Amino acid sequence: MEFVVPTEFFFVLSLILFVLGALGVLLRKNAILVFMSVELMLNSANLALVAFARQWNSMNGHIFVFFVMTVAAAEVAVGLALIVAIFKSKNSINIDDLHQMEG
Amino acid sequence: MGLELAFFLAIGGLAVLFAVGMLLSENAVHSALFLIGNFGCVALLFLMLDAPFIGMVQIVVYTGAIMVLFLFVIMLLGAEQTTDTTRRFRWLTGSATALAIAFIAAIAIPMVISGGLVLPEGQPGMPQLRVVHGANLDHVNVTIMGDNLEEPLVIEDLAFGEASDFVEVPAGEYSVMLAQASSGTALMPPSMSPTITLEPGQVASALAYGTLDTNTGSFPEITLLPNDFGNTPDDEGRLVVFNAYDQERTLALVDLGADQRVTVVERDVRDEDGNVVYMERASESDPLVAQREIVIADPVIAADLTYGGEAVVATYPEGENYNLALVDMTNFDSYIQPNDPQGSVQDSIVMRINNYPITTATEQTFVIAAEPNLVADAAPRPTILDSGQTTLLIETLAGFGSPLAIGQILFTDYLLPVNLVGFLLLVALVGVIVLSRPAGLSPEQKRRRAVRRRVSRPLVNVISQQTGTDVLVDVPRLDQPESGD
Repeated sequence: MEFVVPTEFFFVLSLILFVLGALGVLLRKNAILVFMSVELMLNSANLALVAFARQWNSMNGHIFVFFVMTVAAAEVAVGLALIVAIFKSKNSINIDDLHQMEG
Repeated sequence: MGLELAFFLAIGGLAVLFAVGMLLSENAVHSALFLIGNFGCVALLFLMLDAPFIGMVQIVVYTGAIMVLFLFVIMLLGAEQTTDTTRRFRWLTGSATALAIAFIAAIAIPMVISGGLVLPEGQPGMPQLRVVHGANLDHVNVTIMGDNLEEPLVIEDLAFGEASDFVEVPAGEYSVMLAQASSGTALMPPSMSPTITLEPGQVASALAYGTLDTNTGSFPEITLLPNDFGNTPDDEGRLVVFNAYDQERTLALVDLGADQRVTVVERDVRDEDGNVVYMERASESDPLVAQREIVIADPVIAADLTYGGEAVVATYPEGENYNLALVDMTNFDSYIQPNDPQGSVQDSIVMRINNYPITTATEQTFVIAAEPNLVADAAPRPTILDSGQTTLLIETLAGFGSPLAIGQILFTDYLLPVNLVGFLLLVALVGVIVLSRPAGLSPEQKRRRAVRRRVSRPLVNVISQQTGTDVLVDVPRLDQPESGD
C-alpha cells in the first residue's frame, strides 16, 4: 500500500525522538527530568508502533500502544511517589546524590 | 510537495524541537511544558496515521493526566531549578551525544541509500464468505466443496431470504451444491453445480438465485456479491444492489421522494460531448429540430440492473423513510403517453419499497429476488434481501483505528492482557499508598507501643524469676525470697 507520507518518515522521526529521550536519561541529573525523558522514549516507541500498524493494516499495533500507555501511567504514579519519598529523606532529587547502592 | 507531507514535516520538526527544548531547559517546569507540546505533536501524527482513538487517548492520558502529575510533583518539591552543579561525569556529555548521532546515522543512512525500509506487504486475511438464499426454492442445504477445504462446508436449512453467518475459508475455487433441506436430495447434478473463486482478503456473499426447472434444464446459479463493510463512507450508507428477479427487463432503483411518484422531465438528447443531437431532416430547407427524450427526474440510486449481471454498488445519504421504487427501464418509453407523461409513467414501476432506511457507515446487500411460489400458480413477487450487516466477523466490522474497532479487539482477543493491565494499575495504586506512608511511627502508634510495654513488664519479671536469668537488663528486680529447704 502506498501512502503520501511513507512509513519510513515516521520511523525516522520516532528514532530521533527516542535518541533524544535516551540522551535525556543519560545526561540530565534531575530525577524528574530523567523520568520525563523515559516518557519521551515510550512515546516515540508508540509512534513507531502506530506507523507500522498502518503499514500492515493491523490493529494489533494500536492495542500495544494502548497497553504501553497504561503501563506508562502506572509507572509514572509509582515513580513520582518514589521521587517524593526520596526527596523527603534526602532533601534532593539529584541522581548523583543517590549512590547508596554503589558497590 | 503535498499538503500532507508538508504537514508531517512541520509537525515532526516541531516535535523534535520540543524534545530538544525539554532536554536543554534549565527549568523543570519549562521542560514539562515542552514535553506537553511534544506529546501534542505526536497526537497529531497519530491522527495522520489513521489512529484517531490513540490520538485522543494520547492527549487525554499523556498530556492531560501524566504531565499534570509531573507538574504537580515539580511544584510540590520546589525542584524547578535544575542547574546541574555537580557534574561528575563531564566526559559523558560529549560521548553520549556522539554515540546518539552515530546511532541515528547508522540506521538512517543505509535507509536513505537503499531507498527505504524493506517492508513486506501486509498479508490479506482469509476470504470471508456467507451464503444468501435468493433462489426460487424452499429451504436448502448448501454444501461448499473445494480442494483447500479439508471437509466440505455445509450450511443447513437456509430459508429464502436468509443469509448465513460469515465464515473464513482459504482462498481458492469452490463448487457450491444445493440440496433440499427437508429430504436432503441434491437439487442439481454435480456437473451442473456452479463454482466460485475467492481471492485472499475478499469478503463476499454467495447469492443463490434463479429457478429450478428440470424440464427446461434451468438450475439455480451462484454469484458473488462484494461486501466491503470496513470502508463505508462516513456520511453515507452503501447499497449493493442485485437483480435476481426479472429475466426480461433491466431495472433501475429510484428514490421517489415524499410524493411517492416517478417524476419525468423532457430534455434534449445530448451526445457524449454534450452537444445537442438533432433529428434527421427530410430536406435541406427544414429547420433543425432537437431530439427530445423523457428521463426520470428523481435521483436514480442504481441503474442498469440486469438479471444476473454485475451487482451495482451505490452510496446514498442516510435517511429513515426512503420511498424507493424499481422502474422498468427496458420498456420505459412505451409506458409514457404523450398527453400525460407524468401520470402514465407510474405504470413503469415494477415494485415499490416504502419507508426504507439507509444508515450511515453500513452496507446493505439489496437483492431483488422472486419469492418462491409455494402456493400453486401464484405469480412470483420481488423480495428485498437486505439481510443484515451485523454478522460479519469482527475484523472488518468497524473502521480502522476507530474506538469501536479497538474496543472490540480489546475485549475479545486481548481480554486477558486487559485484565492483567488493570491488575497492574491496582498494584501501582497500592504501591503508591505504601510509598507515600509517613516514615517511622505516628505519635498514636508510639503511645500505644509504650502502653503495651508497660503492661508486659510484670510478665517479664515472672519469666526472669522462673528462669533465673535476666531477660531485660534495665528491669528492676524484686528481692528473691530465700529458696526453701
